[in-house]
Amino acid sequence: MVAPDLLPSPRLRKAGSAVVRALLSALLWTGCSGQDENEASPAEVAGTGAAPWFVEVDGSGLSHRHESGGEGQFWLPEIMGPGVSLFDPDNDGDLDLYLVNGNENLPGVDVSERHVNHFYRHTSPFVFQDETEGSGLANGGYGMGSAIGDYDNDGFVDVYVMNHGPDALYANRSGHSFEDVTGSLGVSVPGWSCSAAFLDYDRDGFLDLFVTQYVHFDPDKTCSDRAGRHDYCGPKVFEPAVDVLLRNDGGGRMIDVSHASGIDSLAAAGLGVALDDFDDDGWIDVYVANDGYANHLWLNQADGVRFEEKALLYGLAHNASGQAEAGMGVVSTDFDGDGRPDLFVTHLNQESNTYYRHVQAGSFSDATGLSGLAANSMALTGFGVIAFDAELDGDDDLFVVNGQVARGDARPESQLPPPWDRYAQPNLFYLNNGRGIFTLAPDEGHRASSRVEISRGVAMGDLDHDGDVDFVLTNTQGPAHAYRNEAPRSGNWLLLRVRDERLKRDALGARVLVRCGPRTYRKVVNPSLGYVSASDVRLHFGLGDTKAYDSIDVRWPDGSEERFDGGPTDRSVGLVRGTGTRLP
Amino acid sequence: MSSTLRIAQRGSRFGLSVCVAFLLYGCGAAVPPRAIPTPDTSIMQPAVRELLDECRSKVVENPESTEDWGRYGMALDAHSMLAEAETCYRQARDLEPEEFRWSYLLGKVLELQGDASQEALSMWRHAASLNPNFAPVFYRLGELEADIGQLDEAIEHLGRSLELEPDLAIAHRSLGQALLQRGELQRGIEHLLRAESISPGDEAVGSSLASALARAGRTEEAESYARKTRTPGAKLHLTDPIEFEVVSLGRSSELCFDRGRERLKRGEIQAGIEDLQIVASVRPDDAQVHDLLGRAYYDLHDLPSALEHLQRATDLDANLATAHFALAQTLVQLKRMDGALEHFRSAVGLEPDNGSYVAALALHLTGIGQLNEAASVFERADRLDTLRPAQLQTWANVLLRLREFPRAAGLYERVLEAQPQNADAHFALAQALHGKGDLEGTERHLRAAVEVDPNHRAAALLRELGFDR
Repeated sequence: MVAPDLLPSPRLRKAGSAVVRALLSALLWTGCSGQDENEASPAEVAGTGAAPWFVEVDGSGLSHRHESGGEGQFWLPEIMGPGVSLFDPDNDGDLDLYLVNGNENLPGVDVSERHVNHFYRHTSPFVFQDETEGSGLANGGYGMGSAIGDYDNDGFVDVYVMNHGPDALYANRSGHSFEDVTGSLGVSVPGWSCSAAFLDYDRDGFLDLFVTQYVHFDPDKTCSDRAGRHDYCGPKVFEPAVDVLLRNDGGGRMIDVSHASGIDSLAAAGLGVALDDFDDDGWIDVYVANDGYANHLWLNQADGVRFEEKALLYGLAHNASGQAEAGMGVVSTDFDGDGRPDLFVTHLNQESNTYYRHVQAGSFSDATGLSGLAANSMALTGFGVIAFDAELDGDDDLFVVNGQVARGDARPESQLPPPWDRYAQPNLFYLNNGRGIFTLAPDEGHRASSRVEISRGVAMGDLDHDGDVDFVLTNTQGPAHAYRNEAPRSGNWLLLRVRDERLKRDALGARVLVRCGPRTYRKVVNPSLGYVSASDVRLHFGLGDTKAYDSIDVRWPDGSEERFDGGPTDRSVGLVRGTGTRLP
Repeated sequence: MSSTLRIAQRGSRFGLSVCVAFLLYGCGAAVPPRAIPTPDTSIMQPAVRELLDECRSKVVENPESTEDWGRYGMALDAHSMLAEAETCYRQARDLEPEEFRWSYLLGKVLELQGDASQEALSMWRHAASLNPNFAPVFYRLGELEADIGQLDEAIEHLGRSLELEPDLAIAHRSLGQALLQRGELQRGIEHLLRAESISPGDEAVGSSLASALARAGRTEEAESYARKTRTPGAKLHLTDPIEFEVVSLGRSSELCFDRGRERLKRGEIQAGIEDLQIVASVRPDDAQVHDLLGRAYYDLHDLPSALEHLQRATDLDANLATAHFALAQTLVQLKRMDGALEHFRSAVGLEPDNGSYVAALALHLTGIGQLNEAASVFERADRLDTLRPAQLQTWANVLLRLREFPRAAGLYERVLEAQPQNADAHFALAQALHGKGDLEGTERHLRAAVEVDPNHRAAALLRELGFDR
């Protein structure tokens, strides 16, 4: 049976009307839904509409501005952050916001100009209130991003902050304040952390933590571009680092098991991380996008201890040309509707982003060119990425945020001052035709924002409880922006919260199959998506014209499976462990 | 502006300019010049600034000169000023539409800028029609087509490049990869194996083979390639004389460093030194540059220059094993043995598992008469499995001099296994066996030495020991 919705009644209502939406739909939505791959060249922009699909919300109260500390030194950390997290620390059903900042930990940055991370409470639709002071979350490290998970199973999600320099773990005290428990838990990750994700890899019921490590940055190393102009160094100038796996022993300690697990056997410049069960054995695996090095696929050895690296054999280490690319952000989802997780990795300009299609058990194929994702990304440097069904037609679309890491041509449309205008780039939004063939969304929609900035992190969630996915993005040396989804709708939706009440938390790592007639939609509960960011933990499904779903199967992180009865769509549903029918 | 709009605008601009050029040519009129690119050279390195200013001046003086526009484009291209290079190549192409280089290079900078792949393809197709025997243009066409998912065309063009150059390993690699993308597993693997047989060890070939063989269920072979791919090896390159001309114009320290290092690898020592001297003038405190320069001068037997740069390298970075080692070798050549010993020791200390360094230290210790230490260092080198027969023989000679006859005999036997016609080894083994009291063995190896070389001094020893009776 389906448990009653765990969420309180939506108290946030989206501005805008169904009439407007219907008009937009009529104007714009021609030939996108159900598009045959032969109908349009995938590299072309679909449609001819003019209205933006994602509207930047004015007056959101997001006063936070990222300060990179960059003053002409061209130190690499300046250009690599920041990330953003959307999460619900007080369980009131609204998504609050955590934004990291640069700081004086970078050599040469004036200590007197102290910048801290910011915590914003979501008070009314798209209105955020700065509650950093008193929250306990004003971390003063040189921030990269944050990860969200309830490490102590107390029913309140905690915050892990990734820094260039020591990371920090903040325990949520009943939703009202946070306490730095880094020292007391024995968390010691002193290097340059980028993305992180909570997972229960050993199935003991407590969330462990995987943290990617980038490089051993050395401020004495300087670099120039090919014309001899001072610029940011690439990662290969520095020693690569090994990623970190912390095991939560459930007794108040986070133990570094990077060596015992085998994770420290390979050094690379790790940036993005994606969690999924890539070999479908019921144990959560880890995929790491490395910058300039072969990507890593760490397959869980199902013994609660070890991982083995298998990216080469799975076809996930390099692109179709056999080249290691500059992997930045990464998402895993079933783009082509075949029931298997695919991967999408963002990259540097002069490389395309890469779409790895899961073609058979244990094998992926670089399908970027065939899927229309190559040509239009080659001029851009992708970082953050989210996959969600923007128009609810039954497949996950792609939003990629961009910004250079090496000097480019100045962009007149960017409002950034020099030299930052040479790093700014527009963002991209792609529509999926349901079979993993993508087209750029119409006109303004395809950028998903009118601004041209140095974008890095992006996190998604239904910020106004209207059933579609909104997002917040961050910029290097700039403000964060919240965007409301105004894409023309062509279907129905379902928002699932997957809970294990014995553990008082969301079932991170659970695999969910929503069955609707011949079609099955697959997702895994995992808020750590894209690049140094965390999205809403709930799973959002666009279901096309489906008015009702037949059933939902959940494979819990411990491998047991349960079936929940079907029901009508267009609502939030809570799936609570033990309230469905156990499957053999 | 959408990227498609940009492409469309660029495409229409391009189409318009081609039409205008055509019409003007048809009427015998000159092509109207574009604005000459004027990048801000003030923040560039002096050598780059000088080159770009010079090239630009020539265009200003001769705005109708295709070669001057083209050369300015190439100079900009070499320094990755792609938008500016594009302008120059467009102008050169308009002035001389039948010269394939301009279409070819214009295609390349369009591809590198990333948002005009269709126009890049059309430029290369045009270049290919002008020069249908130039394999690199077909290779580039095929590569880009594969990247953007035009697999049929990619396979055709890569095939054409292989018709022109059947052993073009990099084209076999790309063709194999394109076939894999099209789902032709077996044919893809065949071309990848062909690339591997022509030029073994390319990481991209190994990676593609590993995943393709795994998909084909050939797990053992797949794992073998996966293991090999973990160790970076040689990389396949496209030999492209047009691109070479562009790269040769690079003047920045970054470009000169990369090019200089490549030239040294290919044995073009003097040219490599010229590049690295430019780098050293911009980066005088870069230990790696001095290390490379020092080793290059050593290869040219210019020992004073080698000494100067290698000493500077080790002063700047005491952890540079290659510099210590080359400095030690230089000092040996200059007969400064004590100084050499210090640097051999430093090199070995920094890289204790480098068999070449350990063996060289052992030989040096032998040369300066420190035989006990030499013997122990030889033993260490032997554990690293790197000693060549001549080095084994030197080690055996050391042991012979230390009167360790059984161990010496064992080593000479190893030398003779590899070099059975080595008269000196037979002779020395005879001495070792004599020291052990093995007279039969002594006689046998003295006779073997004489058999190989009738004039060998072993003959005298045979007589002296009475074995000739």
